[in-house]
Amino acid sequence: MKGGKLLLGAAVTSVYVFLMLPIAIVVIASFNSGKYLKFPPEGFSLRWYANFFGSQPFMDATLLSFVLAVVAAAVATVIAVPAALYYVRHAGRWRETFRMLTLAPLLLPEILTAIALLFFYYQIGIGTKSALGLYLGHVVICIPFFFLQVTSALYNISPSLEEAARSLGATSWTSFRRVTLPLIKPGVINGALFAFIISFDNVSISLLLKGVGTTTLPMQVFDYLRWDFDPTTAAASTVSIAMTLGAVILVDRLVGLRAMRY
Amino acid sequence: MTKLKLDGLQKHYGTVAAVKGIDLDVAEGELVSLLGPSGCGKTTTLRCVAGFELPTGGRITFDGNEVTMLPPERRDIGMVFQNYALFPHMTVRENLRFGLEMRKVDAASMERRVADVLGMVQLTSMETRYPRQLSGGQQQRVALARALVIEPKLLLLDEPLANLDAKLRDEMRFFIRSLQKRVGITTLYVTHDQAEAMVMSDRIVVMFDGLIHQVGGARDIYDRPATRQVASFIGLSNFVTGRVAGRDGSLWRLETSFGTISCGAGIAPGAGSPATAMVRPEAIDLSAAPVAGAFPGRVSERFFLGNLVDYRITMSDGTLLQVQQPATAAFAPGDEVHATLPAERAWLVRDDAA
Repeated sequence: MKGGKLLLGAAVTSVYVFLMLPIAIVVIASFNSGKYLKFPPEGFSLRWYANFFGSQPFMDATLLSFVLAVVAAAVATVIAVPAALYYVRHAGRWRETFRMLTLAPLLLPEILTAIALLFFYYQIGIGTKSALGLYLGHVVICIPFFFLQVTSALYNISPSLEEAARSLGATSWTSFRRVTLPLIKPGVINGALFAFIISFDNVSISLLLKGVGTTTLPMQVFDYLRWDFDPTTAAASTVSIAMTLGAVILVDRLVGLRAMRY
Repeated sequence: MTKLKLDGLQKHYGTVAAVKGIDLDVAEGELVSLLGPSGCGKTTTLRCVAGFELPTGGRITFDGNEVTMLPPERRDIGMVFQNYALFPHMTVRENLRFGLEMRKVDAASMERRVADVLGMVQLTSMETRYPRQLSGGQQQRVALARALVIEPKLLLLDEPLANLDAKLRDEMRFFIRSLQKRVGITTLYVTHDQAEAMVMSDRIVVMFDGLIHQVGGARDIYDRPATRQVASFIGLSNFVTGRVAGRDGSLWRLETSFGTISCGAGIAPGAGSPATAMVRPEAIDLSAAPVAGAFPGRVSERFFLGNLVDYRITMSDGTLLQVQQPATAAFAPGDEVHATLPAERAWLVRDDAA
């Protein structure tokens, strides 16, 4: 029994090490004073952060990625929550088809989705001159994750709660707002966070769909690495990790991630 | 006065008929139970009355106003669910206020009504608790309070005691019944538990396979069941089959293979036609000595039940009768006995199986 616990501890620790170590190395490398991206660092310096924040292309890309992730998460909320409600509570004959279609962007390789969307945009005349296509693409890949989160949250609450609200005189909208929504809130928040993170570090969709002359942070890091191997990219990665983490912490503070379990 | 009226109510799911045409009148202040095995359509009927299901045929009226197609929130009903369906993110007080808020009741009367109803269900001190902090019985009472505080036209209960343990279930039967009488609210109660239905109801509606087999008081249903299914669903019964030999006033003579018995009936079978009589095990009398009108048999098995002794009597033709006698009577397996089937406790039932 004791040996088993020890083994479990070791397994968990090694998983964490594998997951966290590369991240830690990137963060440490970003403070390197040397000219190249390497580990262990040669000294402490913030010059690469100065370089990152002083670079117009990096700033534009960061802003675009941030706005893109917020918009994609917001739009995906408006689509995924009703979709999950429909699937769990109302869908009849086409239930499973509906689910497969909703999850399709998750099941297909992202690059295929991107290519398909690219052709589609040119067919209908949106093209990639504006950022519209990029936004739509991000919404599309965010929806499946969001949908799954909200679906499982809905499965955990009894449909008789909504019926009880209706019997007490609430319209279907009021019973959603006062009963269902507060109970699926953790799922919705998790879904939105997922969507934000997925959009924020997406490469494949952005690669094909980004508008002319604009770029997202991951794409900018990629482009930069082709010509310069200095730690600016490590600084950019650290900022991006900080933003993702910041979003998680902010949401936790505002609404509580471990939202009450009933 | 008729409060609730069902007129040829039907509910089909595709080709499956859950409710096959039900007529029922429930009077003001009456508690009517829908009783039957699972799948008999009782819950579907209740859900149609509540508005959670839309009937595929027939009409539902409250106080003479048709509500058949109205959404639940416009029907003015209070409903208690089997799993209570208390809002887990609201306190007891917020649960009770919900329905009043929907009705835009002013703050002062809201306070008063919540306090009144909490007093009625004896939960005044639990106001600020969340449902998960309450026992099953307390949750049940909150659910009842939440349905009553809105003073609905009609109270609907869907197997409300099914999730409680036996002792609490017993207490709650009486609690709900006395509360219902005190408030005087018209109530439709769904259960599969015959004892519950008998204790609580003014009238019982016994349903099988989407149809009503009988509507009546507990006594009617127990002593004068309309069909074989009703008789076997409620309590224990012996079924004796035979041919109708004739009629003496209100009694019918049934010729069975162990002798001719007399029985009452709610149906009028033609002379010579096959028929089935129902006799409850406790209605049959046993004696060691021959008695006029008694039929000979032999004790084949005996079970001691505490307050009763349960015998299996093999009659002369091999028919097996179940007989329950007070524990003082003492026959042993193998004993010769004489069984009397009193005419006033024997009843002809409609037997679709025969």
